[in-house]
Amino acid sequence: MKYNEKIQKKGFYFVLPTLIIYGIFLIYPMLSAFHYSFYKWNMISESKYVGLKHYIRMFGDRRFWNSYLTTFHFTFISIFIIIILSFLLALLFQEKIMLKNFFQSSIFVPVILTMVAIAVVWQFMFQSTGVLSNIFLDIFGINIKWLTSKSVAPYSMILVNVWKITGYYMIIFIAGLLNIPSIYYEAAKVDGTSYLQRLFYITIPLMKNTFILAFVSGVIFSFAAFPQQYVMTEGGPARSTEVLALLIYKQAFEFTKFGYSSAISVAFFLTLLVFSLIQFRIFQSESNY
Amino acid sequence: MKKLSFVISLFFLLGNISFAKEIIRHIHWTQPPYDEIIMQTAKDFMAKNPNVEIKVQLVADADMPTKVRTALTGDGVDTFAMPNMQSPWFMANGTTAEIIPSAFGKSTVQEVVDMWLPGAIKKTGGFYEGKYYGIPHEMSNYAAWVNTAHMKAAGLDPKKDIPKTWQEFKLIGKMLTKKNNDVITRNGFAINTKAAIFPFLILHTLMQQKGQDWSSEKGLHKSLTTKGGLEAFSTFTNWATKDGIFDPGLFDNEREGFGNGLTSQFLTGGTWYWGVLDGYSVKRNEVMPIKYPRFKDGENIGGVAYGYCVFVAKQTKNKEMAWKWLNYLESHPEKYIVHGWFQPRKSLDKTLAAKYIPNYEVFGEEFEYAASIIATANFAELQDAVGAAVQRVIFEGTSNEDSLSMLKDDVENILDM
Repeated sequence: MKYNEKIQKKGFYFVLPTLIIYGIFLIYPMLSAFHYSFYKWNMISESKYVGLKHYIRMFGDRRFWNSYLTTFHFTFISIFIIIILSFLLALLFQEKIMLKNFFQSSIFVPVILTMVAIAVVWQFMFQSTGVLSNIFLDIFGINIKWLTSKSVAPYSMILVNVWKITGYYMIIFIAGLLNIPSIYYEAAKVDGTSYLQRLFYITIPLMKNTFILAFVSGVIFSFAAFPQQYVMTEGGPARSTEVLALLIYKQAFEFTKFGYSSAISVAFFLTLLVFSLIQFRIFQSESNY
Repeated sequence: MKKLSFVISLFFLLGNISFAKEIIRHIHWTQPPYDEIIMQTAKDFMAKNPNVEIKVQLVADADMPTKVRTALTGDGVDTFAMPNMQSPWFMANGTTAEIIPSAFGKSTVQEVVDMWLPGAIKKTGGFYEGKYYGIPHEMSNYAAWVNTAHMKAAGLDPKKDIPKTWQEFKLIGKMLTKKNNDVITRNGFAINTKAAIFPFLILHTLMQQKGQDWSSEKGLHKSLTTKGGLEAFSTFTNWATKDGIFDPGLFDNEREGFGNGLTSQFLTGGTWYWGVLDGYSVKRNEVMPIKYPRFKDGENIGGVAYGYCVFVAKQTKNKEMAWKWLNYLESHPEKYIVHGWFQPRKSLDKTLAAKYIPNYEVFGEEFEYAASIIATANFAELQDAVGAAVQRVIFEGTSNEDSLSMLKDDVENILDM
């Protein structure tokens, strides 16, 4: 026992630096944001206590709800496409194909690139005389206003997001597929099942936890989207791409409404907390099963 | 050994103290080719004042207010530049120090003010509620710019066919717009719709020309329900929605687009644009600044007058030395004028403006009729709301009337009406 306690104590000292950094750069700012959500503060002058005024304003603020819904739209459509695409790619790369490693690496490269650089390049491609516009015009005869149409711009953001992070989830699904014992497939083949039957009755059920992990982590990641909207559209056109993170930034750093911005941050945090709790409950129920 | 270590440490400590310099941290916006002038001026000041170190940080113009605010919170700035649209916020929130006359070799603040052209400090945003907090770094006014090479290629005479009214501006814009399969490949006119400040400043003039008072918060609010306000607003949005002379998707930055020949007209360039143009492919002899067009039945108001001032942060330890640095920074208007940058210091030889700024008479004459920008601490939110109103019409298809109605609600929220 004493020896175990010693080991635990030593282990605690090893993780202490990380805990301190975590506390300073994550926990403290979170608590500060919660504190300032009850104050009117512009970063320079003395803060003034206003109680729930910011929250009341937020619930009646058309712009907040626009951002909230825009973020949900962006997140869920992105994740839906990403999960399907990355799973299909993972299945594809299970087969023996030429230059498999090259293609896997190429799909993964955007994951390690910085989103700001990606956004700048895509912005040029989306211009009305950019490469994408020219391709669609020449091949399909359609002039798509990628970043200047209120109905198209949100999907342009989704396209960039899908392009960036599909590779990451492809790797997660590849790992999940490798965890399925091959004996199940061999037995199923002996029973005369088709590929699709093996996919729906073996692969997908056994990948349930991986799907849940991908979904919830993808939602949390995409919900916090900011760079591509800030660089490419600054929330336009007509606030159609103004996600919550961008609204929080504008309220704080452009309008100096740090109190109101903090209230929106709290709403943002609570939304993601709900998703995290769902993930926790699902994993718990899966492990009990 | 311990004694020796102590002596060596003491030696280094005393050495550092004796060579310790006073540091002045200055934040300025980046704008080639003027960045080099600022950096050289800092070096020259340090050569004259060996016990002072000037650390200049250049940031993007649009990011400057945010960077300065953040720096002020962390005591990370001593002097900074700020445009007159943003400076009221800083002065209203007590972040700026008043001018110290002795730093300028003067006895009173009025003597310092008199070092610049009459009214210059007020127009460039260094004056607030009876006190002077800044000195001018730039004073300018917007002119309309037109690509005369495009005009000639379209069979127009740059001398006779210069637009004088907004109707003519639109018609010439149509003639100069180029299309390829219904896709605009050259705008007849362009504006950066992503950055709300630019539509705001053009609308400022249009509204004032229609007799609306956009120099005050109440006047701005009132204009949103008037016929004149609607006409001014519609004139602007129609360039994109009905007149077909502006595709916002072609590029973002109209100064860059004009310099690269991708737009034939734009409305947000001051005298300083000559220096900026030199960095692009379009040549000086292919363009011309002209007076802002007018409405036939409108007021005789030109493009907005604006400027930048430099300020000393209230938290600065040695304010006198900081003002000395700023006075030195602003003592070389002749270095800027060669690139077309006008500083309203009386020491500037007036003939240099005419010599180095092509078509200076346009800016000089227009300045007298320039629209005065609203000075309010709520500027950031108001400009954002106006930008959103413009975007609703251009990108969402909202009617001008509905968009102005929504803008009115937004303005009332911002001003707590």
